[in-house]
Amino acid sequence: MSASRRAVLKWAVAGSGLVALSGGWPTLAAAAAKGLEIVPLVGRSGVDASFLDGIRTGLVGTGAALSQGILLQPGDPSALEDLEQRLSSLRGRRVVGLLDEGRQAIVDEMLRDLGAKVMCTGRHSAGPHTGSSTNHRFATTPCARGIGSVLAGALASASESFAIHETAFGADVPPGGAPVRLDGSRGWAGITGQALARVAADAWIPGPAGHYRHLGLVARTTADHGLVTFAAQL
Amino acid sequence: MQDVTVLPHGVSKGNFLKAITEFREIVGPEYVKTDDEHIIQYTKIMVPDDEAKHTPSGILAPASVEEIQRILAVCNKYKVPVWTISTGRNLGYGSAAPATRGQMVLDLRRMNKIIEVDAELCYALVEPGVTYKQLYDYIHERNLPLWLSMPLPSAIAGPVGNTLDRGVGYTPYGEHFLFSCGMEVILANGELLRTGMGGIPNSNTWQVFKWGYGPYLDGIFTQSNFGIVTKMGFWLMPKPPVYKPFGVQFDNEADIVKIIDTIRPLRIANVIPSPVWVSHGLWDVAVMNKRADVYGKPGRMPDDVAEALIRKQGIGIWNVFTALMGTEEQVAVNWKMVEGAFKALGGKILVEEDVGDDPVFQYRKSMFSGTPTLREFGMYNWRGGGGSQWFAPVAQARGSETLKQMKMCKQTLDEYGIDYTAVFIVGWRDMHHVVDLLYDRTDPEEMRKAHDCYAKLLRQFAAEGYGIYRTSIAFMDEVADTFGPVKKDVNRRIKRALDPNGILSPGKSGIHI
Repeated sequence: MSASRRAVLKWAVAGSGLVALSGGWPTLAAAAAKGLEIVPLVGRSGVDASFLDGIRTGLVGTGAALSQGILLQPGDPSALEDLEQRLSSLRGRRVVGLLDEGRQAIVDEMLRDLGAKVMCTGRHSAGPHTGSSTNHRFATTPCARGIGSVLAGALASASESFAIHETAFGADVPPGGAPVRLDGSRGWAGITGQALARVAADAWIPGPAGHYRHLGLVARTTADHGLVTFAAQL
Repeated sequence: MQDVTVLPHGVSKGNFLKAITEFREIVGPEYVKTDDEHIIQYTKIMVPDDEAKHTPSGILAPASVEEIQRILAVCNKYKVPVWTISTGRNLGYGSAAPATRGQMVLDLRRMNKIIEVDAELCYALVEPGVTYKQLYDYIHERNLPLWLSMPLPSAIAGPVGNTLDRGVGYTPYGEHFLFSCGMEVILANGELLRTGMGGIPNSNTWQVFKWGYGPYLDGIFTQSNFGIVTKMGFWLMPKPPVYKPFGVQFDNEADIVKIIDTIRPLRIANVIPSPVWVSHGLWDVAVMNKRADVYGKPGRMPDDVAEALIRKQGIGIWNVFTALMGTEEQVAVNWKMVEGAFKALGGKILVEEDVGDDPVFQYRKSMFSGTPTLREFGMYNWRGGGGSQWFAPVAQARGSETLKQMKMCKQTLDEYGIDYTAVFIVGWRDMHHVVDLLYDRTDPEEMRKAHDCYAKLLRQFAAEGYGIYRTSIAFMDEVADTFGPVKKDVNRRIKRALDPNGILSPGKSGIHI
């Protein structure tokens, strides 16, 4: 974690259930032209920094702007009461999130209540039952199709062990061009953040959905488990 | 031509698109969704089944009885089925997803009017989209001396959906269907039925007298697909002058026998007026921890490891929680009896004066006074991976039943590597033994195991004479089978009589035409 990002998370710990992440990402100026604004939502997992870094990288050159993000405090899910109001104020924007299962279960319901359009969700797991591997299960609409194969390619290039399952919702999508290649050294959270940012920015090149498994040489890079990622339009 | 992801069974694309066009004319285009980005949210399930088996064809969100009546006319014309949800927060039982693929979800969340709250007669009449939080806020903004009873998803769920699925809460009014009073139901042919006293024009007793005249019909609209409930009355509890929540911790697993045998007479005599929560310590550990942080091995957590963990966290192997309420004098008398009974068992009694702002005590205190809390959602972080399936057999409220059911559960959970995170909820004469089968949906093998585990538990419990009080969209047919062919056939005959085209929630509770 870079010193600046550590500082962001550190100041964000204080205060109420919701705090704002600092903005000022490098793509901000270029993005305004297209009008898409991407709002990160994270919940203080051990891979937030990697995920946020992935989002920042993923938006480079897309024309979308990275808005001030939302950082949820850890602990009691009851502290989410303010979030629905906050999300409802983000109409027209796109949210790219990484949360634990408990809070995501509530956020999912908020998104449905708000009439959000969910482009993709991913569950990410690592624990004693997964051995040295990480497990990932995506549900993708056509605009995010192929995210599993891209994550698989990136993790395999970094020789990580993984199992990935992508369930495709909606129509089949013809491949949109050369397959996306992402840097595998970021770990699954960074790669997923990067991919979801491109999905949210309408800059994703669809690929095939499928199931992937790889036994690599590198032990998994994170102890975090039971996390959910998503991209949605409010 | 418009693209369609999932067609209803037996409906041509042309007819489906005609139906969609007519639905849009009825409710407005913004309230008919057939795009993948909306549908995907109605496929989010925690139960061990593939989302594809429960993918709807689209979503309809009407705002009135009249719109639903017109929708049903279209459904009958084109044989398009609708799966009705109120708020769709039946988490661990199927959420908002239909029992079978290819139904239009009829999402009633826009019908969210609190029609009446009578503070003198202590009742409410609401529409299906009303949430507990909404009603709680309504009552508190007006400073009405009334209490709600709500289930664990509390704030985000709603009284109509929970009552119709025969859910429970934790106040003396916790057996929700028992305290419902009067329904408005749209039948499949569009007719509007008001149950109980509601059939009398200008009746003012619809929400105060349950039975009406002739056969009592409300029950057939719970856990069923015989009609669409668009209004429901239910009784609210007067806020008691004194509320005394308390907990009792016990240190040995075998203590459960004497715990239940002690609680039973106190419950039947209404000395303890509320349901009694008796959670295994691992449940409470799971709410507050991630499994991988405290135990690094696969398989069901061994009992000795679980017990060590539970003790380390300062909670009991069994944790009783309930409450007394009434006047000061009533509570004092009852407390003497209750305290004496639990002290004689050797339990450690916890009262608010001693534990102060202990977070676990405080959220249970909220739960037992009908105050919304989302704390229990922490349970989903235990295993990770988003899998949860409630296994909920009913038992007699006898200590001997607990050991028998617990042993049966643990043997099967061992086989499939799933932890025993469970609670006994003691009603008046029964118990719900609720076991949350937490598993990882990212691992197809874990999902298969969770599915097979539930199926085996169901078979084994049925073979011993135990039934399930409620189940998920993944097991509705199987659970219906355990109640015997005659019950199933009677349900089918009622279904055919009331809904000959089978357009209402096919598959709900194993009921098909």
